[in-house]
Amino acid sequence: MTAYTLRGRREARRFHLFTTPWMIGFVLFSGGPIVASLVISFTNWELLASPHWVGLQNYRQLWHDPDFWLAVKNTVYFGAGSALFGVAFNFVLALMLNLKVHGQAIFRTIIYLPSVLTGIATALLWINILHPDYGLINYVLGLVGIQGPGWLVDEHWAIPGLIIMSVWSAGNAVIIFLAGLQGVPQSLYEAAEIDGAGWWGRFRHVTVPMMSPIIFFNMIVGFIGSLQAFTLVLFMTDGGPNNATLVLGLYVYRYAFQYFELGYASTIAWALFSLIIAFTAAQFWLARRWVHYEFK
Amino acid sequence: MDQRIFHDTPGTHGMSRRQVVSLAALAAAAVPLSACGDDRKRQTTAPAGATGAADPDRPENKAYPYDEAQTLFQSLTWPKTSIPEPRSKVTVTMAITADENAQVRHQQFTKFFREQHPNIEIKREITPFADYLTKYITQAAGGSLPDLMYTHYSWAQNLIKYNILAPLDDYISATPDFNKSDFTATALSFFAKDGKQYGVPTDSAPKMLFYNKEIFAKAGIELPDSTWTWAKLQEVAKQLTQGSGVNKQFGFTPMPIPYGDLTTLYLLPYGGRFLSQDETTVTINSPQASEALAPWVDLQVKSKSVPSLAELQALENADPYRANHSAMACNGAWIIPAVLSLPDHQKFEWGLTHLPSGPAGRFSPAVGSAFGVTTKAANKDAAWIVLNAFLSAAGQRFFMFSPPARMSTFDANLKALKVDDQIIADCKEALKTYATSDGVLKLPNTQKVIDTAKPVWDRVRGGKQSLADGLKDIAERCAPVAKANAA
Repeated sequence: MTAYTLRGRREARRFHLFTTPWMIGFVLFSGGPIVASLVISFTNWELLASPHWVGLQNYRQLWHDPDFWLAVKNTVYFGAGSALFGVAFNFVLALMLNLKVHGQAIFRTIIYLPSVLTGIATALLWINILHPDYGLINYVLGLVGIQGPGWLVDEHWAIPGLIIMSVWSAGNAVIIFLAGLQGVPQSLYEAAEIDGAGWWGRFRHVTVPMMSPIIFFNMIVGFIGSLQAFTLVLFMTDGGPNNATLVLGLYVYRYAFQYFELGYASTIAWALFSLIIAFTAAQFWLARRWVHYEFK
Repeated sequence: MDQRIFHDTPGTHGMSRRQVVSLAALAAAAVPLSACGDDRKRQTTAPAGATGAADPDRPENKAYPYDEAQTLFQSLTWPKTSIPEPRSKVTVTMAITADENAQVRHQQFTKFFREQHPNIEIKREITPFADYLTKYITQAAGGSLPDLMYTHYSWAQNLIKYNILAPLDDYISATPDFNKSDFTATALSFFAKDGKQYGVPTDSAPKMLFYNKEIFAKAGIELPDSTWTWAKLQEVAKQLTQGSGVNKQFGFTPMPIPYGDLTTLYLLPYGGRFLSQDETTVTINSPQASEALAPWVDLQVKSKSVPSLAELQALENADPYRANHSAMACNGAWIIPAVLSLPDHQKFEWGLTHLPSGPAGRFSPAVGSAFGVTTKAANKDAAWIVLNAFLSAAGQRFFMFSPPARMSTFDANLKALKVDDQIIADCKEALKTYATSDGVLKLPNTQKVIDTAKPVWDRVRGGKQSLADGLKDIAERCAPVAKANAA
């Protein structure tokens, strides 16, 4: 008992020792600014002038701001499209990369490569791939007799264009899926086979349930990441055409660093945070119906 | 390693996978609240060491050989001021935004200046243009600023309003050599408020009509001149439009958009305005503005003579004129050095003339940048001594601003680039006769006005909304934003 207590104390000491740097960093660089941004959201701080307490005025303004609601719609559209399409696409890729074929390592490297490209390089590449006149996608569509859309310059196609691009560089999700796939016990497949399950049956009744926590994790992380979209949107469309790609991250940036209205920018940031929390909570609630945990 | 953190083992008190996922989700969701990260800006930051190639004792590059720089510096007459030299060594910090060539010129200036003023050391802070305003506004909020700082014309009123730039009038009075009349009133106006001068202009240039002589010769159309009206230009633009895709030749570029100089360039010639003169009310929904803009919408939607958003993307947002894809362009005379230094495969015969006139006259926005002494400057007197030399006639000649804000160096700087005499004369005439700051938006809410109007204008130029509805819509949406300028 004493030995256990001593070992427990030692472990606890190590735990605190190793987590302290992160905790300090979090409090100084994340926790502090989070609390500050909440306070600032109740002021009309123009950065260079002293902030004035305005109570709920910024939140009232937000409620009546048509561009904010447009940004919410665009953010959800992009977030949902990017997360769902991304998870499905990456899961299929991981399934293929999990097959024992020649050159498997090379294929895995190729799939992962886009993830190491910087955002701006990715944006430049995709501006060309999505170009309405000489872009690769419209060229391929043209080969089968389809006239491709204007993608980033057409307000109806700009977000689908961004979604396609976002899926391309999701190699990290593929790695996680692959790790998960390799952790599915072989015995389950063997048992299913003995019970007469074909490849579809094994996939549906073994792979998907066993992978459901991983699918859920990738969905949550992908959704949160997509809802915070900013860099590529700023660089590729700057919110256009006709505000069709004005997302909340860009809206925060405009108010904070172009108009220097830190109070309203913080209000938008908190609205974005609330949106993320609401969607994440909804996903957790829905997860009870389809995510299978091996041990409860 | 304690496996409890990673596995849902019954009967243990470790975190379940569900809890781990929850925590990860919460941490990720918190990011937008703690940091409005701007990767794009980080990407555009100049590479480290880009300026470090030059030998500090003998800074030079191909554009600015050291010996030539020294000879030029010594040949110029540098101004005096009655502001006393510091008795002990001081450092003047100077915030600039400059390309690699200009940075070398600054290094040379620092070295030669120190020989004349041994107690003043100039320390430069170099920031890319895209990051500059954000960086220094944030720094100002933190209570620290360089002694001298660059300002674009469109930022100046904000910097003055928030007490970042200090008035220079006392220093100017103490410096008979300053010769304020060497600047045009327009150049000075952007950096002045309530009769006080807060910045000394570096460059000031009018927008002019550039044309591609080869395209005109091929079409057998006479070159533009000062007799042209905007209606004539639009007619010729239609005639000179041909081709498609990457081979498209536009008649004119750019398509007018609701930017800061829309009024001066395109609306004042018809008696219209985007915003009122005090920039607090929106006046674009007027018959005059409609008359001015209707032909442009036709040129965009019907004859496709000006680049659309998609066509600009095809050119990767390069200027179609300099990419040899446009017969005519309206642009600032500051692009002359860029046109002269086009790569061989892109070079073409070019010319420049006065902007066309409209029923209400001829107008051109003349804009530029400046430097000012900041209110937080630790060494204001020394900062003025540096500024006075840097933006004196000698300084503007040494830095080869093209075109410079000082009219006394205008000819010399452009001639050094081997610019045609007629072009120099036309630019000077434009500055003296019809170039103006009237109509150029400069108050704090300008960017917001532009961001509000642009989506509507995108629909109009895309043919998805009529001009009349678009102007009405812009007027309604921009009204509260412009009104805030009155505060």
